[in-house]
Amino acid sequence: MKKIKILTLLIILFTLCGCYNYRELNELSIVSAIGIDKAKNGNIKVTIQVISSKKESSDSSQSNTNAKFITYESTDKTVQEAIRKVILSSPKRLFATQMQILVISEECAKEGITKYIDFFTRDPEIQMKFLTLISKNTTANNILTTLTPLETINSTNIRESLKTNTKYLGIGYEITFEDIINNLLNDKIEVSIPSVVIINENKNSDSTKNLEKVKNIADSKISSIAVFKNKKLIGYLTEQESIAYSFILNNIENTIITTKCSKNGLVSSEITTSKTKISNNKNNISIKVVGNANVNESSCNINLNSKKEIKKLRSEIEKNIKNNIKKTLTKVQKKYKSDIFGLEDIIYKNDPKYYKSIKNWDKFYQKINFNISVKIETLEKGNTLYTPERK
Amino acid sequence: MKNKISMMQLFSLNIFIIISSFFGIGIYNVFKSAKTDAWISIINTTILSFIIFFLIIYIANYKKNLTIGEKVIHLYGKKMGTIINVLLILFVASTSISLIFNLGHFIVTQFLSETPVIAIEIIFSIAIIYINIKGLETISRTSLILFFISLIFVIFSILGLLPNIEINNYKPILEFGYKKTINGGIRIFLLNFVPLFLTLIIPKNQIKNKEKYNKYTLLSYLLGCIIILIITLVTLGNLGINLTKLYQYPEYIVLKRIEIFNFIDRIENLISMQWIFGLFIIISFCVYNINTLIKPNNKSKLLPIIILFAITLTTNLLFKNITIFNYYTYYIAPIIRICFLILIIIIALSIKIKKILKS
Amino acid sequence: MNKIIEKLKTDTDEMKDIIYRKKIISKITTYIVFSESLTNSDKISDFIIRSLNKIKKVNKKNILEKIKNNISNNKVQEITTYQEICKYLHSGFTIIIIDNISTYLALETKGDLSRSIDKPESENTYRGAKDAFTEIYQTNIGLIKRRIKSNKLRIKNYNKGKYTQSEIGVLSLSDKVHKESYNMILKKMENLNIEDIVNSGEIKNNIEKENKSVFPTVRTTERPDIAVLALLSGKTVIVIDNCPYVLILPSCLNDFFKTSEDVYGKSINVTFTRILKLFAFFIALLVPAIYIAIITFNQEMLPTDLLINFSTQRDGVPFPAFFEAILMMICFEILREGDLRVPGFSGSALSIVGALILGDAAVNAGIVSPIMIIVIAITAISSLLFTEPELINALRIWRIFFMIGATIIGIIGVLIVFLILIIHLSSLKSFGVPYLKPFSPINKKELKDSIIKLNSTNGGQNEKN
Repeated sequence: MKKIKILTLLIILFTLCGCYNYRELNELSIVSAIGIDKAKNGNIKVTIQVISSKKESSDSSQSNTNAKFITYESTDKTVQEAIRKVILSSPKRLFATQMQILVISEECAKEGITKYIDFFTRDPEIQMKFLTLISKNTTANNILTTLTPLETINSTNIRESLKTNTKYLGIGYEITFEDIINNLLNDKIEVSIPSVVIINENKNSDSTKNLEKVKNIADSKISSIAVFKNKKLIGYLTEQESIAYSFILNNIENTIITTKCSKNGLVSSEITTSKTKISNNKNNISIKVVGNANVNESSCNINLNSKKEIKKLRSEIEKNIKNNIKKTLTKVQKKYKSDIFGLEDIIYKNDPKYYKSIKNWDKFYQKINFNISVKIETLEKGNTLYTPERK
Repeated sequence: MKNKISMMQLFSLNIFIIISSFFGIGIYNVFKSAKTDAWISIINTTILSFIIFFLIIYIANYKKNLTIGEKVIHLYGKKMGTIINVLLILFVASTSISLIFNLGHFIVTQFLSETPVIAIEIIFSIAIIYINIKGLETISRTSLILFFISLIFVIFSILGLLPNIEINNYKPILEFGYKKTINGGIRIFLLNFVPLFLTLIIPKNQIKNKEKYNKYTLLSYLLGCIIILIITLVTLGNLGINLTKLYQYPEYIVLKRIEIFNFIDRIENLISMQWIFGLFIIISFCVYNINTLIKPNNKSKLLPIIILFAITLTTNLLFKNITIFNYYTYYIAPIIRICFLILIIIIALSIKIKKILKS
Repeated sequence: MNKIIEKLKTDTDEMKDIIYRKKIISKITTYIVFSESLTNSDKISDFIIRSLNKIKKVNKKNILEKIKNNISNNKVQEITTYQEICKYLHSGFTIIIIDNISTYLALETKGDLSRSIDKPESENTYRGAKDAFTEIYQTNIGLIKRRIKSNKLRIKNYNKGKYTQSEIGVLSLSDKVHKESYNMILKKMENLNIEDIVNSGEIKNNIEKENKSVFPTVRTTERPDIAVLALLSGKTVIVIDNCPYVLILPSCLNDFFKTSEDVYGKSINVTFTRILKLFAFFIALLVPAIYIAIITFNQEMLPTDLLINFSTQRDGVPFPAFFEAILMMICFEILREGDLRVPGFSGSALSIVGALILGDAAVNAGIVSPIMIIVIAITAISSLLFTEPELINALRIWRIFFMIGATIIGIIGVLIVFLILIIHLSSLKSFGVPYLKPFSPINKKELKDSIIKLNSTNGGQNEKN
């Protein structure tokens, strides 16, 4: 009697739950990047970059001339239809949980970004940890089909360079898709996304002939921040302004500031830590930057042992940062009229009563005064305290 | 009584009751009603939970060798008592249908997107029936072990998420005044704390060290409240109010942000097992409850199967999709719980009247 | 001739093994009967026959008393029935049958038929006493009694088995033993109804009948110091004749993780080893199942680079993951069983290397993927960390359950089988003691010695239960 019970149980198990979600690794193709472009007649062109996992033959005498990834392209009315149509030519099912970047072309972003990214918020398999980029002056297709040196997979190259950029240079910072959704849902901040360009573009950028050269290799390069208003792309910042953008949003980990030390001399110093605080008092926003710097290179004779020179150096760096931030804030406020720093959000969060009394945010935004104060300490950590004599 | 359970095991059962209803259902409701002040609502709930503490101690101390079903029959006589027992069974069933739906829905939407919900429920039913056949002792021992595992996971996830908190996400504080926080507090109280009356099914004589009953029960309520509070704070601090209201299971989504030592990530599947454990234990405890209310000291193995089958069938017929479920937990379930609370208060009053009449 | 001698001869079919020596003492016929293969002939000639020669001048009334007083044997017993004659004869005693007297004498003259006290073969230790139990009951009891020199050591004897009549002793320390389980064990021993006992395993299976799970609730050991440690912590030890493995009951899951070397090491080192054993326990159970679950259902749990590696490796493999795992596991179990038959227990390292080479050839032929070999090798090595073979077998069966669960619905299946395992273990009782003893009903004193070792002086013993 007991055995019959167990048998029926097992039969129920095996028939009812018979492997609905069972997918062997052989039937999956791992998607590493997706790019979205505009095509003719209002259609959308989707480029999907897939990692190819073919086994290499055991004798490695023949050099591996196959690329490690392939791209599929497909055009249709919506993003979902275009992606689904890819299976007409791909032998395996697309598996998008490991997706690393999403590249949206400029033209799509100028139209309004929400229409193109809605698909990615609803799919349960796609995890919103991937980075987003705007492709500047080129199409997403071009960016994703370039074979890059040093990293076999294109999207890893872009992602890693964005990460190291965040860590060491500060021209923008890595923004995950979840942050973009957060900004889109919050009507008190505007979206801003880093962008990527192609350098040295040539005919052979999508074949391994590109990798056989030593210089002038086609490659992707991280560029400045794109500014949006009402979820549409309206312009870009310059590289210096992107550094200021990172300063304001407290995302600088390390960057290089170059200042003048005499008539013809320049000093390059490295900011090692920095912290920014934004606070408001009615319509005056005050931004305080506190940080440490380190002198890396100088072409005039500076003596790091004298207090007067250090003071002068510090004030030069502070002035540089302050001017940069002020320039960026004014440009965004007056030229683009877009609130990418979330000042409306900050006023709402710190002072909800005052916020309720603001009737029209756009007009109020133009009247905001900025009060910037920068304080930098230099740590004399360099190997030399004097410059080698130049005569 | 032969099978005695210890006070630590009851402690872990209490905490599981508080935490498991919070996942998915509770957190959605508290953010819907109180927005950024959800954590203040939970502090309100802590104050309200003392009501339940006094009620449970009062009812548990009366006639220490009877379960609540038998106490009711003792108080009101057979006919009236059976009717009240049926009402109690309906309340326990209403708790368990929302838990079963939550479990199935969570697994289907996050882990396996193509399996039908009924398959998951059948597979869990095997484990639930197995533990009910073994009896209360096994339920309590298993809950203690699972409690330790869940505690480790909770501490781990909190430590992993603490560095990423932004204080800006908590502002503005008390934007709409105290009313909404009280609203949220009452909702959480009704959803998460009223099911604590399920533990009345265990007669006090079955507990080994019953002189520590008061102390451990109060400790368990406080610890449960602290855990819920920390989960809310950490979730809100990491995601911000907009993303929290967007998702159905924000605690699961926030786990995707854990990154320790730069290589331990993607562990959300592992840590979310603590909720699956909690839901499993409480569903089995509800089935044990109904089993004992119908027939105390029951040894038959058929009754749990029938009860579980009936509950699963009701769940699948009532809740077809998540919208109906959210409507149910926001509008209908609090009303059912208030009736439950009133019933328990009536029982406590009858005990007092009977004691006054006797003396 | 004596009636009894005739009956004996017809019953044993005149076996050449049984010698009937007739001796006449003062005109009374006495027979000295013994079994040649079981007795020590020196003892019989030196002690019994020589002292019988010195007896003179007896008559029928006092011959029994005189023989009893003058015989220089250490153990003299009076028996009265025919069954007892047979029993003592077959146990190696010499029977003196005097004509026309219905009381007989049985004298102990057992020969030494066993090997000497040797090193334990199946449980290796690098620090600790190196003597092991042998097949003789008295020697085993002696080895235990040498270590416990107290009056409180109680031994209860039973004789079971229709043809084997084996002697069984149940030992306990009367002031430390867990009363409830001791009474349960005694009741079971009295109701034991076995045909024959050749090995302690038969008693073990019979006592454990109530326990329908694959997890063992009785420990077997070959070493006296482990048995003594168990006695001192309140457990009962059963020693059985003709078997060098004694039974220790009741046993909980925690006891399988302890070794006798824990007493020697420092607390930190012992804690480390025990945590390692806990990891090995979970690895041996879960790793193949988690591997199957991750490869076939939950690929999102892997980091990208690992996923690319795995999918490159599984490219040309024709079988589904579950089938590969079962195939490799069967190969390894065959190797392990075959290795037990190879003389010398140190062949396990050889077999692991053999498995690896076999696996390598299979990978090159394209039947399995390299990761599967590593997974199975790690599983197998982890399961060899435990000394109790029953536990390793239990792990094997549950591992298959986990793999089935993983094949059906991935990591949720592993979770559900894990829940069923915990439920199963929580409901097990080993002779009245809950199986998950220090964890489930929490006992702070025992927790100090379970996974972490906090008291450095007490060496694995508890003061009271």
